[in-house]
Amino acid sequence: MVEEIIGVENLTKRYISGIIRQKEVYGARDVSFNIKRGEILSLVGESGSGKSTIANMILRLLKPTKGEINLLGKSIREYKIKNYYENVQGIFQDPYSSYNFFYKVDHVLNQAISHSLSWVDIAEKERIIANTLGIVGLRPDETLGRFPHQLSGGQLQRILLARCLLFKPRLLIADEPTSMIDACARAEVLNLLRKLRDKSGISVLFITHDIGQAQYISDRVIVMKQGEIVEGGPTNEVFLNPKEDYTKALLSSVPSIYRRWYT
Amino acid sequence: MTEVVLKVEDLKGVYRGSFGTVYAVDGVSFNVNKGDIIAIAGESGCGKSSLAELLTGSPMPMLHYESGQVTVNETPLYLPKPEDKSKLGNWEKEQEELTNETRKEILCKIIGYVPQSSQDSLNPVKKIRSFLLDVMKQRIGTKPRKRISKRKDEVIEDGLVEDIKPGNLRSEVLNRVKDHFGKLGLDEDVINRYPHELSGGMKQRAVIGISTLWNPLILIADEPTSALDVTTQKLLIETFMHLRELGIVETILYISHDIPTLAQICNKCIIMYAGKLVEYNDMQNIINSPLHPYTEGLVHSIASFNPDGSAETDLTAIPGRPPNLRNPPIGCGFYDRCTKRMDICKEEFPPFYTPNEGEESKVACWLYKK
Amino acid sequence: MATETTLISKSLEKGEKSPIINILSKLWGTIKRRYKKQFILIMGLLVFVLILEILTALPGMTDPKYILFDGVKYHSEYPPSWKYWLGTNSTSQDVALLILHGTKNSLYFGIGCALISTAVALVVGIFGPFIGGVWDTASSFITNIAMVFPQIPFILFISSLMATRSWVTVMLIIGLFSWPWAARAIRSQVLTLRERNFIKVSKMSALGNMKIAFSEIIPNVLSYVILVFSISFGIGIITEAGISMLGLGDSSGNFVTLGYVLWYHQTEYILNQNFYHIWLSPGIVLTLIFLIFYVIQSSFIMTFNPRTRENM
Ligand SMILES: Nc1ncnc2c1ncn2[C@@H]1O[C@H](COP(=O)(O)OP(=O)(O)OP(=O)(O)O)[C@@H](O)[C@H]1O
Ligand SMILES: Nc1ncnc2c1ncn2[C@@H]1O[C@H](COP(=O)(O)OP(=O)(O)OP(=O)(O)O)[C@@H](O)[C@H]1O
Ligand code: SF4
Ligand SMILES: [Mg+2]
Ligand SMILES: [Mg+2]
Repeated sequence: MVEEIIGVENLTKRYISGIIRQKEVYGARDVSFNIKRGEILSLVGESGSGKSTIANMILRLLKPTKGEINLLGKSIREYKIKNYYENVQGIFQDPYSSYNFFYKVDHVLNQAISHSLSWVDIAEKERIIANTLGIVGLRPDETLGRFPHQLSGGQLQRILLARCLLFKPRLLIADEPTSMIDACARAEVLNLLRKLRDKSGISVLFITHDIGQAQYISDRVIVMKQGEIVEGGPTNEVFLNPKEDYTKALLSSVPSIYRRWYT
Repeated sequence: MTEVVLKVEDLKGVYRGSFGTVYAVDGVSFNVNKGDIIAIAGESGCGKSSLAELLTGSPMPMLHYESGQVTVNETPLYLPKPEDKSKLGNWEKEQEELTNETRKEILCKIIGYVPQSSQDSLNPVKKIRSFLLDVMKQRIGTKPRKRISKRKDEVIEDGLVEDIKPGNLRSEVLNRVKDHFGKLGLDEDVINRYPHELSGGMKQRAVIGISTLWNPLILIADEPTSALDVTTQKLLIETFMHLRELGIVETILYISHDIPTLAQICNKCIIMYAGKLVEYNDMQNIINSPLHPYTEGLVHSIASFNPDGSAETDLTAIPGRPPNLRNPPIGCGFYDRCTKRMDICKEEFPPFYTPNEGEESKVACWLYKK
Repeated sequence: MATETTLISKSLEKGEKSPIINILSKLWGTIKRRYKKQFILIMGLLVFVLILEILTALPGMTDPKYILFDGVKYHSEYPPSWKYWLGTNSTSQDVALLILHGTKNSLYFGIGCALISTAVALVVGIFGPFIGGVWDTASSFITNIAMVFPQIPFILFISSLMATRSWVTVMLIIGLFSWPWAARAIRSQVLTLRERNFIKVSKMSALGNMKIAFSEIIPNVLSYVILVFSISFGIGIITEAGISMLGLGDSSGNFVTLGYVLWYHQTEYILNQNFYHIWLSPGIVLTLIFLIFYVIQSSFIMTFNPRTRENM
């Protein structure tokens, strides 16, 4: 059974900047899409196309100017904050700034578990954390008890993923999770997102500007430009037979190891 | 017969400071032929930028030249270190003098250098033109004057200055710069604008334009396209190719960690790992038949866009982290992460092998020992 | 279901601390580790105050204004001797005792001012931008007003209006007028912290605003808070000394501070060459306090600079 996890309708965000000469910028403009259970949807677009704006609105970190977001058919405003975050979680672009450098990396995990599983005792919490770290392919003894700067970007990003998993969410918003980590560790995060989808049926909204990664990971893609959706559909349809001129131009400028512009 | 323009022999450079010594470039040797576009790739922190700094002959203050030699067109950039330790102080002074003296010439005539994230380090309160004049002052000693004083009647024969040198009029210099910018596809009026009025791509092209004003023999570009959109990246790559077509620069050292971009323009590739050169090969071979296990891992971990088919089905990441460069391992630096490691790898750093006879390639890995 | 209830009873048995206490105790532990040096300094200060407190509580030393040679009108001024280290003044009071009390009270005064202004700066600087909305606008408006407010003239004005002024009023006035710059500094720090991802991550753990402020924001502005505390401490002492010098300090005359000692002796001795030690010594003590605070502040700057803190 295919079930819609999240539906976005006419989502609009208008930023107003400047005090005297006010300038309006649309972070997102009439964006509508939905994500089904167990689906990875990629949002691709160049910088400033409004990808993060949409992610933050779905994560309730930003108030939409207009439009509706529905989780499981119910408007997200009807959910209590705590309840909502048990269903939707997110990770961000910069793994380093996602940690408070004052604390060890355990801090984010403890914070999460004391809110999602507050009734569990400490030994059980530790067991759950160790298990979850196992899912993301980390060993507790080489991660816990360390400070963020002692770990690599890939490891930090996977700990944040483990944090999300503690909530057992239905939807994961991944806002450019790989763009600040080293190329050879990127595949780790990408494969992990796929694994989560396959094993636990988590839906993923994968945001990226890297067409290659979008092609590798996603079932469907949406191409965005200046806050608006240009084109959307199944990955191969959009990437192999693009209909819009913008998509064509975008794809033709993606460097690839399969073709050479100059010989 | 190909002509070698840049010859690097066992180059070593370290960062010294309160944090200790970081062996950032640790014995790198390679040759660059005229007309090559050479890629230098490797993950973050492997010493790509440090190598580029050393190649300019006057590395930034924290980075110290240790040993080895860089020869550009038969001109050595460094003095050999004295055997006698007591002469070291003297040597350092001489080294500095040499660097200062030849620096201008090296920087403008021989090597054009576009440092990493240079487009972000443009002074936001200065117009591009004043940045340009500052650069000129740094490189040719004086800022071009507005007017030539009557006492010094230096005659300028040609309206268009071919070679920018002390004594040129400012307006003439600026005209030539405008002309040069025009060739790069930039608006003439770019030099009268502030950095924030330009897009990332324009800024980067302006910086490239300024460093190629003197038609350098070699252009070293350190991550010129990272942090830019793909369409802008393509524009920049076109700019580089255009520079070559016009004959402004022929040889380019292109530093990046993005293999698909490198694959578009480079014909040779250097893979660095933990401050060492681990593989030198043709770009195509790097992608299709890499020799070193690290290169293999690197190529298999990138999700490259496939315009004519579906994506690769399986990517494999390289687990682990590169070694700390403060106390680099004695043996192969890749030992901890390598799937093909042997006992010998831990004890000794492998020498260079050339497995395929007749090819201009080399690889530092014990697997290829005969 | 069964496991759930057993787990609940287990956690009840363990008597687990409530989350906010948890957060605070963790915060405290981390602070102790990170700011060890600063703690030693502050503890040193408190120990110093304690020593003064004990000294002034010794029999015969409790009253700073005790008149030593009652009834003797003339020759009551004695130069320094072994008994009276700094001699006596014309009212035949022990100058050393006056200074001892003055130092103690000045330090108390400084701590009081610092506490008041740091508290106000923290509330205005952190909670304003953090809660956002009207609060933010209001707090930044108040800060800006207080910033351009002519503090010293106003303090003088208020002080001269009041017929009786207890030292608490003076402290409140000074404390309540010396926070704006500190609030500004903290505020700008909080504004940049607010945009960092770890705040978003905490929000996604469904933490309330207050908890985020305590567990995420305060540790990161703590360096500023300690700095603000030590600077307002110094400001408090010097402002009080200045006001007392003008005779606008505590009006009861029972609260002897260094400024008061200075004022008390200025007219009589400032031109008297034989008794310069009477007005010089409180001045020297004040200067010493400032020197110590300067050293403390520069040590803070060292630790707060990430570059010098590298390997912590
Ligand atoms: N707080 C803000 N105030 C004003 N404008 C904003 C704000 N945040 C974003 N914008 C604008 O909204 C547009 C979309 O921004 P957004 O960050 O969503 O883009 P993005 O697709 O995530 O880009 P990137 O790939 O660089 O992360 C941009 O034009 C940006 O300038
Ligand atoms: N100023 C410095 N002081 C001390 N160590 C430094 C300094 N700059 C770089 N390093 C160290 O030298 C090593 C090589 O750095 P370098 O900047 O050359 O790497 P890179 O390959 O250019 O990386 P990136 O892809 O991130 O630009 C790294 O381990 C880095 O930590
Ligand atoms: S030398 Fe050994 S450890 Fe190093 S890459 Fe080759 S096989 Fe692996
Ligand atoms: Mg973004
Ligand atoms: Mg670099």
